[in-house]
Amino acid sequence: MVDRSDLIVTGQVTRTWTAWDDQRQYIWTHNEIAAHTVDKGSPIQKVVVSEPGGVVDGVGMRVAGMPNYAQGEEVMLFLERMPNGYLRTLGLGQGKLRVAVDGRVHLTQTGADLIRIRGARPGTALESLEALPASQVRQLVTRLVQQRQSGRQQ
Amino acid sequence: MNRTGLVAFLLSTSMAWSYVPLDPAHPNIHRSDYANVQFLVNQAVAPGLNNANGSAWITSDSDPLGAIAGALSTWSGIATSALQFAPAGTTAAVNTPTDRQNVIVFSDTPANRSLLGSTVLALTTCMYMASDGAITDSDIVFNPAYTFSTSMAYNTVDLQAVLTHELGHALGAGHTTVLGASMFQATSYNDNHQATLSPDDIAFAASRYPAQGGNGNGILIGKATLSNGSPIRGGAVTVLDPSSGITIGSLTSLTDGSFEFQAPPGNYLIYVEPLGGYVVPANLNIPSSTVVDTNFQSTFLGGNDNPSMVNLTAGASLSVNIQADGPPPMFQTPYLATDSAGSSGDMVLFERGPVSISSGQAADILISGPGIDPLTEQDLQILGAGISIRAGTLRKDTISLNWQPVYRVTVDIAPAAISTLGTLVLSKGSNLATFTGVFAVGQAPAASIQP
Ligand SMILES: [Zn+2]
Repeated sequence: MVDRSDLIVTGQVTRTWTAWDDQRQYIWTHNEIAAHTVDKGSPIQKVVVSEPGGVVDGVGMRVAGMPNYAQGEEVMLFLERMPNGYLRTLGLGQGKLRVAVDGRVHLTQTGADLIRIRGARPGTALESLEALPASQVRQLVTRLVQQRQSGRQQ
Repeated sequence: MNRTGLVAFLLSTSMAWSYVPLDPAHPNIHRSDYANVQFLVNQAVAPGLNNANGSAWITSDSDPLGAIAGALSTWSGIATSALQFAPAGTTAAVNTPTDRQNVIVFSDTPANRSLLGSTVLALTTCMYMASDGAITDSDIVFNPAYTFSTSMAYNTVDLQAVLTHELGHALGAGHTTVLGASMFQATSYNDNHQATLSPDDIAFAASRYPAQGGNGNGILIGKATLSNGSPIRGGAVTVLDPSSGITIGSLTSLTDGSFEFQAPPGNYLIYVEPLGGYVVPANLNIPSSTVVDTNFQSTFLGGNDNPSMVNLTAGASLSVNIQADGPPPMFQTPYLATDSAGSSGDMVLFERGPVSISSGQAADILISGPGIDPLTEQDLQILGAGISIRAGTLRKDTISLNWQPVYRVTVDIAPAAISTLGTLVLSKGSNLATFTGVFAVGQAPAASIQP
């Protein structure tokens, strides 16, 4: 998940809104995150995460299994840049960890709209992150990011 | 009643659904054209189709139009529902959500890649009127990042299984809590069990779009509460007839814990289990701002020591209340696999999700995960028709998974057990966990699967 993320941030959801895309094809729900920390990608203060679906002017659009965000939520996010420029949650909701008031992370989704189920394989199982302190997860992520960078230089 | 009073009543009324709707925040999303739903297939859909990178998108040995016709007729064939799909036409149109045409597309464009992301196999964009929930357009878009087939070719995704699932969304169904049902949120390579509708999928269609003469179901209504009397909001409730294997899931109201079921006549066990593990609230499109109660363990009506059965008859309406207690389950969602009966130390692919097994033969079921060890035969039960654990076969395998031991047990699947589901029940002392419909029993796949 670290490899496939363009941006890994921890922050708070400050605002959500819905809008048609530029082509007026699809309705998207945009979620603004005030970033506290950036563990992969360029340092940034604000991030907008967009997911398809929402209601605009009496027209609704719904796609099953898309992650959703609530204002005020503390989250750790693994984000992927789409061809249209939007940042989306990696692996649908798999890339959204909720950070509880006690500072521990909680998975919010186990795999969603008809994603293929992965068999068990070496690596860090996402489930093993459940209820770990966010600081510990960030250490793990930072270490993986650094490993990948030094790997590329060799 | 004055207008203000009516509005207050509508707001305070609890929402109990006999299925999980596409959007719990807008549970009235539905089709008004259910008696003749017209889907069109984009003309590019053909065997041997490649994506924009030149990789196989539909294998050349596939019959995509046959699979599409098969998926449509599967939903149309529900005797207890008025739902009918018209035969699919072909079109040059693509997925334009505002053109009021329902189109099945394999179109590799930056816009579709942005819509799909890298993870989903396919998706359905349901456009609806917010005022009454009527669906105006529902396009089904397949992801160019995967290879689909209708031949169960190695490392491909079954086109008909995926389409059957997506058509459920186009009808207003959300994801289900029954793991082996077509409307479960995920699928595996080389697995077509979701091309067959389970009683859970059928119960959705029969209750949402009942047949003209009625759907012959009985109705079960009730409320799930914790022992302190507070409601269980967003609990997964299941009715399960162990003699027929019929397994139907629903969700308790997110406000007051009430639930409602429509199910065919039968003798049912009823239980409530916390969301978590394989299915979490976000999988069911429950807004992340909504409170879901999970601080209890799977609890059967009548209590876990001596569950009671409820006899449901056609047209009857029964009322039951379930009280559940802590502690939260000590079992984490297990990793599961199947293998030839009696083998050991084999290389197998473990799944976190439903496992398909073939009827008319014995198989080994492999179980592993935190909280499972030590496991005895008394701890293990499979509820369902024609699925029985062979006594004395539970053993620790020579392999381990993520440093946890792997247990094997041999099960016998009766030849008549076709398209049925088995529910795994794990219990230790006062701890109990249910994995609803996690074993999907079907006919052995016609095509051989080559690694
Ligand atoms: Zn789905």
